[in-house]
Amino acid sequence: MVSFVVDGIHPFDIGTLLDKQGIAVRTGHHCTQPLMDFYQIPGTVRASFAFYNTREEIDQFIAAVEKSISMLG
Amino acid sequence: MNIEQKQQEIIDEFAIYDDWMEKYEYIIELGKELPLIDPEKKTGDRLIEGCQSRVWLDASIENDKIQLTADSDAIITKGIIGLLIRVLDNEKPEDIVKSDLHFISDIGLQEHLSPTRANGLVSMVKKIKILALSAIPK
Repeated sequence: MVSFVVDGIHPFDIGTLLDKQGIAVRTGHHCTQPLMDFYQIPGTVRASFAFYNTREEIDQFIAAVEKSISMLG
Repeated sequence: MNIEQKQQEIIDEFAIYDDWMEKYEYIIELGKELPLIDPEKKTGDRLIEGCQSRVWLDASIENDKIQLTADSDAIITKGIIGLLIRVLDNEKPEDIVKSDLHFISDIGLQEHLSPTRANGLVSMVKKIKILALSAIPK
């Protein structure tokens, strides 16, 4: 699992654009509100990889995140 | 332009784009034109409940018409509330209360939002209408 934030961009915005590019992630506080409060962030984007994910899909995910950041930045 | 004409203008604009990435690009651009709320008015009572991100909305009356300003910490949300404000800003409270905001489903926005974000959209519309209702002279 990779949970990440992007400076200056809300996790829900990234999640929305990843969804439109065919990538499913979770966004939000993931039931860890005290942790989010501690870091003073509204939430994170969380990608969960499983044994059926391929390297190509990981590359696709990274490209989709980069595209999302360029649209939102 | 009245509310219906403003809605049709938005529907025509969205019809230009083929896919939802292009539409979201347009929503993001529209968010940059959002009439921003006075930062000092970003208080708890102006937060819209039911939104995944924080959205503040303020309404005031000028010459019997509602003036709307807003802000959000999420860019796409800014675009969405920007669309609502574009349609409903500077309108009479009675017209806002009885308006049928069909453009939201006509451009496919409701079905393309996640369930929680769609709930947030419903909350935004409800908040604007409640503010308009309270501004109607008794």
